[in-house]
Amino acid sequence: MLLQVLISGIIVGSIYALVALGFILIYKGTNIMNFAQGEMVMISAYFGLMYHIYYKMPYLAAFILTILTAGLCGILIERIVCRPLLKSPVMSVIIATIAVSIIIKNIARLVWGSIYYPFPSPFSLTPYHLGPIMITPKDVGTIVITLILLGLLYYLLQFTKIGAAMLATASNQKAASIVGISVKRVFSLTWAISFGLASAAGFLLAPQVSITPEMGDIVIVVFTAAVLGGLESLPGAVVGGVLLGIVGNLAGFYISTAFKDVVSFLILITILMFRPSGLFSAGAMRKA
Amino acid sequence: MKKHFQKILLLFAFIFFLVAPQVLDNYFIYLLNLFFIAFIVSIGLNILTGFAGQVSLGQAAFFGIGSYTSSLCMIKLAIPFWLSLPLGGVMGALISLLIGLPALKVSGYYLALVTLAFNEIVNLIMMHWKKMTNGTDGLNIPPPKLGEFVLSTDGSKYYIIFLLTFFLFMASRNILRSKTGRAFISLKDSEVASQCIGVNLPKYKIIAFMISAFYASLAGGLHGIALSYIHPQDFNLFRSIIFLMMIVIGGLGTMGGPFIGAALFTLLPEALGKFQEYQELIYALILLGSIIFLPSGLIKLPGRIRALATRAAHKPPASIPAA
Repeated sequence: MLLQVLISGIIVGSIYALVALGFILIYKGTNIMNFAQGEMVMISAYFGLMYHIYYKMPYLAAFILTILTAGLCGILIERIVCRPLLKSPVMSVIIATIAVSIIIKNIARLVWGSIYYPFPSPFSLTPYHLGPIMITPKDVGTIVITLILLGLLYYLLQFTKIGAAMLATASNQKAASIVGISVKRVFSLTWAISFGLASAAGFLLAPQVSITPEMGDIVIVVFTAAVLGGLESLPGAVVGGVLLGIVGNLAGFYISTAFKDVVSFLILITILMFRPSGLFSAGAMRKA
Repeated sequence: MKKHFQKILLLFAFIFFLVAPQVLDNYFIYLLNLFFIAFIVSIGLNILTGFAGQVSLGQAAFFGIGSYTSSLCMIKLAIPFWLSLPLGGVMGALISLLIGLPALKVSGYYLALVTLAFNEIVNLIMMHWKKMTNGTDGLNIPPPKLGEFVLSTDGSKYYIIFLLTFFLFMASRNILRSKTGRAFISLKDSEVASQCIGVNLPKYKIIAFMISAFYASLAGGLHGIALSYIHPQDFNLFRSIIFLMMIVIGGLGTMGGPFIGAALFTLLPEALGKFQEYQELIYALILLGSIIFLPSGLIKLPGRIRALATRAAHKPPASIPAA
C-alpha cells in the first residue's frame, strides 16, 4: 500500500513540478513572483474543456491549442500588468499579480459557475497490476507527457539561441541588453513559456480532479515546491514538486486529507525560516 | 500652517463622528462601526507595511485570532468584555512573534509567502478545531456588558468602537513621531543604512509586527461585537488581501491613506448592491488600476492632478512662431 501511495504521489508531484518550473522561470527571468500561476492552471483546464468537449477537437489538438492560448495570456499579462511595474517596489508587484489571480478566478466563476466539470482522459483507466501496485495507462500518460515537456524545455534552454538569451537575461539584464538581446522580448517569451507549462499542467491535472474555479489553490503547493528547490533552480523545482506530491499523499493517507494542506504550509514556513535558499543549496543565506 | 490645518481637521472629524449617531439611522451606524473596525486594522497594517516596509498577507489571521480569543473568553470563561477585548489584542501580539521571527530572516517576496502560509494555517485551524471554534457553523456572540449596561444596539456599540478607534489613531500618530516611528521609516528606506546609524533592526521589526498584530486583533474583537457572529470565512486570505488593498489604494505610509481606503472598502460592497457577484472582480480591477496608474494612492490624487495641471499650463507653445 505504501508503494501505491508513493507512486500516485510521484504522478501528482510531476504535475506540481511543471507548474513550479513555470513559476521559477518567471521568478528567475524577470524577478517577479507570480501569484497568479495557480489560476493559470485552473483557467487552462477550462480552455481544454472548451476546446475538447464543446468544440469536439481531438485531444492532441485541444492540448496544443490550450498551451498556445495560455501562452498568449502570459504575453498579455506581462505587457499590461508587469511591464509598467518593472521599476516598482516588490510590494506593488505582489499586489498586482494577486489582483490578476483574483480577476482570473472570478472570470472563471462568472463564465463557468461553481459546477464540477469532469474531464476525460484519452488514456484508458483499466489498471495494470505490477505485483503489489496498480498503475493505469492514464498515470503512465501523465508521466510521459511531463517528461516530454521537461525534455523540450531542457532542449530549448540548453541548445537554442532563444534559450541562451533567456539564461543570459536571467543572470544579468544589463549585460544581456548590451550584447544585443531584446530584454523585453525575452520577458514576453518567458511569460509565454511559463504559462504554457502551467496550462499543460492544468490539462493533465483536470482528469485527476474535477475542474472547478478553486483548482488554482494548488498554487500554495507550487510555492512550497519551488521554495523547497531553492526558487532559483530548475532541477530543484522538479525534485521539489515530486517530493511534495509524495509528502502530501503520505500525509493525506496516514493522517487526514484536511491535514494535507497544513503539511505543505508548515513545510513552506519551516523552509523559509531555516533554509530560505532551499533544500539543495550549500548553505543557508538571507533572502530579500 | 499645515500643522494647524491638520489639527482643525481632526477636531472637526472628532465632533462629526461624536454627533453622527444622533442623526443617522441604524443602518448607517452599523456601517460606521464596520468602517472604524477596518480603519483600525489598516492603521496597524500601515505601520507595518507603509512605514516599516514589511509586506504582510496574514493580517486577517490576527484579525481572526483577536476575534476568537475575545469572544471565547467572554463565552467560555465568562471574562467581562472590558478585559476580554484587550486580552484578544495581547494574544494577537504574542502570536505575531511567531511570524515576526521569520521576518528577521526574510523580506519582500519571501515574507509575503510566510505570512500567506500563516494566514492559511490559522484559517484551517479555525475551520477544523470544532470543539473550540464551532468550525464552519460559526460562533454566536452575546451582546457584551459594561457593568450593568448591556451593549445590544448598534448605537451603544458605536461609542465604544469610535472612542477606541480615535484613541488608537492618536496612539499611532504618537508612535510614528517617536524614536520608534523614525526607526521604522529608516528601516523601510534602507535596512543596511539604518543598521549603520545604530538602529536595532531585529527589535524594531518585531515591534512593528507586534503593533500591527495588536491593532488587528483588537479590531477583530470589535468585529465580533459589531456583528454578533463570526465565521472562519471572515478571516480568510481574501480578507487579508482586502486589508492590504485598503492601505495601498488609500496611500501607503500616510496618515490619511488608511482612512480613505477603509471608507472606500466599507462603502463599495453597499454601492455594488445587486452586482455583489462581481464584487471580487471589481475590487481586483480597482486594485490593479490604482497600482499601475496611481501608485502613491488616492490620497495623492489632488497633488497629481495639480502637478498635471501646472505642467499643462507651463507647456511651451506647440509651434514657435517664425521670426
